[in-house]
Amino acid sequence: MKSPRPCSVMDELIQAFTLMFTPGSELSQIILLTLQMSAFSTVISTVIGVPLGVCIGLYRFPGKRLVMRILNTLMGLPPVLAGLVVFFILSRSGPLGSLRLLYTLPAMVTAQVVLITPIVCGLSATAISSVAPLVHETAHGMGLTRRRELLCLLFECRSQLVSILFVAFGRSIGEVGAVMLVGGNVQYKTRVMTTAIMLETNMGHFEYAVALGVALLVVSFVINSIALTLQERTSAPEAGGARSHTRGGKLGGGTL
Amino acid sequence: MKNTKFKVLLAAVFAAMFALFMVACSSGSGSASSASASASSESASASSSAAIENPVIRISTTTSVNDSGLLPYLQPYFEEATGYQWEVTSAGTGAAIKKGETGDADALLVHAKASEEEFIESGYGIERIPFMYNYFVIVGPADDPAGIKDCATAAEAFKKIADSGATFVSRGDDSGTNKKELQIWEAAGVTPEGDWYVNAGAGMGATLTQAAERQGYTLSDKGTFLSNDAKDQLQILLGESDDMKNTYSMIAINPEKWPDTNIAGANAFIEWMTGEQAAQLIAEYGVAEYGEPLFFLIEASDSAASASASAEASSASASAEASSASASASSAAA
Amino acid sequence: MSARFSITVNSLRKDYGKRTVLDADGLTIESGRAYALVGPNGSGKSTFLKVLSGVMDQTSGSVDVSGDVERDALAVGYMPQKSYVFGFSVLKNVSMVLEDRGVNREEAQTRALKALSEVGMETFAETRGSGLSGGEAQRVALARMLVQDLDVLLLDEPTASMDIAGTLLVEEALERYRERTGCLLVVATHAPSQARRIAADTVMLALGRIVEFGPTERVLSNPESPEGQEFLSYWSV
Repeated sequence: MKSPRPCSVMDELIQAFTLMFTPGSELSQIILLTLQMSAFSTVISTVIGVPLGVCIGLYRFPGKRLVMRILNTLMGLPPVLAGLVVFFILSRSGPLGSLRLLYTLPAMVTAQVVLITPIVCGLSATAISSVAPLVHETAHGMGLTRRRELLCLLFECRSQLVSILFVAFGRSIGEVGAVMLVGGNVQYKTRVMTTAIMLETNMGHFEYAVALGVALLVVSFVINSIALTLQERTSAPEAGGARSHTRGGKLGGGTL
Repeated sequence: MKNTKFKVLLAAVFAAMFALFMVACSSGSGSASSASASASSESASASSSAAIENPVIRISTTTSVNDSGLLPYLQPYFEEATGYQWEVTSAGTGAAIKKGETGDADALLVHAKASEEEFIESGYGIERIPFMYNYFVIVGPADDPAGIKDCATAAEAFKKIADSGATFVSRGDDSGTNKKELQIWEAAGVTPEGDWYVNAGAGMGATLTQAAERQGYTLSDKGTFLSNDAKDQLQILLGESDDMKNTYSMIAINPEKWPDTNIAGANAFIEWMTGEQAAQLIAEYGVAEYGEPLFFLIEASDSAASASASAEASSASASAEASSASASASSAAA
Repeated sequence: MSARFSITVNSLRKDYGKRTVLDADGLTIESGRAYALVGPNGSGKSTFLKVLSGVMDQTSGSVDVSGDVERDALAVGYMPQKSYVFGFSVLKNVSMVLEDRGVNREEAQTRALKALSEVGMETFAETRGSGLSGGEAQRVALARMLVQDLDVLLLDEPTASMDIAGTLLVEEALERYRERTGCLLVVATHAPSQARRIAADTVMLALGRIVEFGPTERVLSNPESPEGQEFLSYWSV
């Protein structure tokens, strides 16, 4: 127990920030691990989710509405449920139990990827499908290659795609249920900001828990600011592609 | 055409949501009223509920108490007998006690002696009333790699675990159980650190799950272990040794600190819990399911003695506790 | 370059669900000529151009090509009504069309600049496409067409957002382009005056059907069909 004297959140905040920038302190280790976890989760779910979302948004296929509905449902997947599923798979008695991944960083990342990929996928599908028809008409009319059309489409959606990345990162860094379940909140191994906040709360260190929460927000703010600055510097896609025939598109209306 | 259809659909969705909301509200109040109705209809000995100013008692307890299922088991009997209702919130020991400090509870039911005494000293609680106990158990994998099965004390067992390098999962959450564990390490003369010592920072249930998954050892209260699925993958390897006693106390919140608290209710709670009926119920609890009781009462005379003693000196209450413990331990063994 | 061919539309039909938006039959248009496509809103002009360009498949019917060129070898350019100018530079918007056909970047940029100057947009070469006004964007979109050697050029209201000066400039550029390449030009327009300026022949659509086809002057001043008369009655006000 901490001293029962009422201590101000401000004092705890100062303490938390001092610890944050003390190399080797437990808090700086926790923040580093949190960033690692969120970065891995964001990158992996983006690598899976964006191409999938682009395909779903781009192509018309039977069952597309059903796929979108399932995606929308999965976007609201309760984190604990995602954690539970991954827990069962990775548990000693589960199908991948022999990998001994439970209570490790890869387990936390896996649970978050399960959680975040549908969000990334659904949002990018929506973003793409809102401009895809217009871009397709234009690109087809100009006789662009499919490759170039796709690049142009992605370029037009770039700011939306980047904000989807932020959503994914934000969801990842602020998530607690799934990470608690499969990570186990093990000190120095799988304890991240949110589970540390949970622990401090359970221990009755409310002020310190709030200070940790504020520290988490500040970290998020800094990351977002850096990423936004980088985003403003994005430029045109530099990719060309030769094609066999050297003249315009083909006359349509030929299919009988 | 399409537009009106959409509007109708929208209206239907809103109506459905509203209906759901109403049902949720009425079912909530319905269950409460039915509970109190059953209490009053069945009660022959119900005390004059008209005199009760505030019938709701907020009890803050630890997860391990809540996980054992004892309070829900006692609740209908208590409400029938006293006319009070209790609202139980459970959290880690630290947070459970904190709720007493912030005025968000009327009474505490916890098991962390040092914290409790500190709480009383700071003036938040009136007195600490130890009333029941059980034993911590050391659980671990069935093959017992550290060979602790035949140890006489927990400290000896811990020493063996540390020496063997077998995994030990600690709650690491500053809870009563965690504090007990740290005391045992101290007694064993071991500083628990290293790769074998996993600080889980979690409640009892999650810690047991983790110990089961890792096939490691952990210290648990017996009630939580028996009601947890981890008991299929772990075994009680050491229990009921003298250094693993777990004493539960009640504390009424001092109304001088928080005038809004329901002190009358808190006193009624403490009075009933230390009374005849509760004694019988607690002694029976768990027998049907586990073949043995999960909690043991501290003898009434001892608890009264310790209660009066604790006002003056906490060490007195501690010795009273110890004597009562050995007394009931021998009676349980007999 | 200037292949001689003609395109014939046979029972060309497009349905959106149960609604038929296009039902065109018996129209033959020839290379080297300019056609205006007129008709009230919702008459199927845009759908007609989309089906012709191949960006959209018809429900039934066919578009046939006859002449000294295979239909698959025809280079068709189509500029939709809401043409997308991409967020990168205007020059890149135009030059990438050529780069996609294997033209090296330097030459592509030279030709792109020339096409831009045709529509009076050469000073915007380094401007980002997302920062253009409606009229400027349409001129860039048009330059992306003119930079190519097309056999068929289909334009859907290409000057809708332009002022009169820009409109006239673009019309002259189109005329030069058609004379140079001998392409078949179809321009959908809502302004009879524009039809008179750029096209010798006019096709009039109403409710998806071809109601008038003939010399522009005749169609616009002396329509034979009741639909044509009704449409033009609004213009004579």
